[in-house]
Formats: sequence, C-alpha cells, structure tokens
Amino acid sequence: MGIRRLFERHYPAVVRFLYRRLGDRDQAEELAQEAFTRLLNQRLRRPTAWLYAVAANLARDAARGEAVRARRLQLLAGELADAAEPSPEQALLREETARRVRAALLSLSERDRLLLLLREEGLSYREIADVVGISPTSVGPLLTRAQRRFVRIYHGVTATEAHDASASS
Amino acid sequence: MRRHPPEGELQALLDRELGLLRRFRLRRHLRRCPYCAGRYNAVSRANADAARLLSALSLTVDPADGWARFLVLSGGRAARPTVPLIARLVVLAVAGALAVASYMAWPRPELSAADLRPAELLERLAEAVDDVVLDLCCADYDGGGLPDDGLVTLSGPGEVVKLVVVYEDVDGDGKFSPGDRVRYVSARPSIR
Repeated sequence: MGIRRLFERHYPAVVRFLYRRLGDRDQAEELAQEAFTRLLNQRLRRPTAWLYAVAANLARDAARGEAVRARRLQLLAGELADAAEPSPEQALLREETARRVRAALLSLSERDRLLLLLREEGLSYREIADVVGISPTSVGPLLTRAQRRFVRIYHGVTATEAHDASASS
Repeated sequence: MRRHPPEGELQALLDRELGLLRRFRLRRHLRRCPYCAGRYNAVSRANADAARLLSALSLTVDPADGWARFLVLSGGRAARPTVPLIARLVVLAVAGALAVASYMAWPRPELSAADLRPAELLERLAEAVDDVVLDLCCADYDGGGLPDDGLVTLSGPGEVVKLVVVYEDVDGDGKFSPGDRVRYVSARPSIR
C-alpha cells in the first residue's frame, strides 16, 4: 500500500488515538505527522501495528515531558474556565463528560489504556498484540477487564465529583 | 462445549476475532446456557458503555488537510511514487524472461566443414596463446568400444572452458594431430 493510501486510511484514527491519550488536538496532529514521517523510512509488512506502536511511544514520551505537563494544566484551566462560562446546556454537558472520560482514561494503566484505544480504532487482536507486546490470545481477556475498569473508574470519578459538589454546597 | 467459555472468548466473539468453527460452537453454547448468555450480555454492555464514553473524546480530522501539511513536513518525499514490492518483482521477472528469450534467439555460428578439419582446429588452438590447452588421449569417448578417442579442451581465465574437441586418434600418435578424425566440436563463439 502506498504512503498516501495509508495516510488517508489511518491518519484520522491515529490523530484520534493520540488526542484521546493526550487531550490536545494540535499535539495529537503533530505527533501523528511525526509517526507518518518515520514510516517513510520503513518497508513493513504490517505498517498499521508499527504506526500505532510509534504513535503510542511518541505519546508516552510527550506525556512525560515537563513542558507538556505544564501545557496540559494550562489547557485544563482553560477548559474549566470555558465550562464556567454560560453556554448551551448540551455543550456544557459534553465538555464535562469529555473531561471526566479523560480523567478516567488517565487513571488506567498504560496497557489498559492502549488496549481500549486501539480496539476503539478498529485494530485487530493481532495488531493490538503487536503494539502492546502481548500474545493475541491475551487481548480478549485483558480488553474485557480494561473496559470494566474504565467504566467503573468513570462512574467512580463522577460519583466522587457529585459527592464533592454536594458537600461544598 | 461442556465447560463455560472464559470471558475473553466472549469478548473475542463480540469483536469477531474467532474462527468460524469456534464461533459456531460458542453461539450454540450461548443458546443453551442462560448463565453464559447473561455473561455475554454483560460483556456486551461493558463494550457499549466503554465505546459510548470514548465517543465523548471523538473529533473530526480532515485527512486532506493533514496530507498537505505532511507533504511540507516530509520535504516532498511523501509525494514520490513508491513502487510496491510485487510490481518490482514483476519487472524483474519480465526483464529476466526477456534476457533469456533474447539469448535463446541470438544467432549462433553454425559449424562449418572447416570446423571439423583437425588442421583448422589446431591452427585456432595455436592462436589462443593466453589460454590453456589440454589434450587427453586416449579413451573410449564415442562408445565405439576402442580406447582410441582423445579430448581437447581450451580454457580461459577462471578455468572457463571455451572449446571442446573429441577426436579419434587415427594415426595413433597419442595426441591431436592433422591426421586424426574430429568427432565433435563444441560451438562456442568465444574462440573466434
């Protein structure tokens, strides 16, 4: 498959994958571009798994950076400020849900997060196994547990926040 | 299926990751086992919940816009047409077939009557000063039952044999000489 077809097929999904991990669209697009640039130097039989593995590594490195952490705090502050502004109820609810989902995702282990996000982008068990570094037969059981944890954490986050809100009022 | 399938297998069924036979057996089991049907529904619900939550973090990406930026970032490398491996193999195979066909179709020098005259051949052998001439006499190379046949080879650098002559040592002098009868001459043009 040529690089253009690969790009058209996978670029939006890789950006979305990175956005869900990092919470910053610009950075997600930047890192996706970097992953595709690295792909130019490769001749691979299974480029999809390779692409996501590189994207995951780039996201991990980016998340570790102190500057990025500061930037994310800034973004988060911006999000909270935006949320405080008067806006249509549905948009507000959506933003709030997105923030909580991101918080739940960040609470997961690196492996659980990868499993969830890669499956969500439609990768096969074999491709997921390649990226995460596990056997394809382990993907099913680990994915089930990761999904349960994710949903539980999300509801836990929501319940805690609701409790905090009622306590403060 | 006697035992209850593990949860990972139910997940794999949901994700269409099981083979046909396994899928069939598992579905049959789920129809008969209310306990596992309930577990399957629970896994299915967890999947739907997770997908619904993640959809809160979805965004629309325009690949055309990304491609334009990627072209700039890659310095135009991405725009260069890449030849797939299979296409390169096809080109190689066609080139190889053409080379073989042209070799086969190349006109080879016909053996003339002169080639079969020992005197003529000896003259040519004498001209090849840089090559090695070996004359083996005598054995029964032509199957005639008598050890009266000789073999002359002319070899170039790298022990590449350029010419082979099988002769009958008619005059009995134990070497290739004008009085002998030529039985075979290899038609290698390289001696010319």
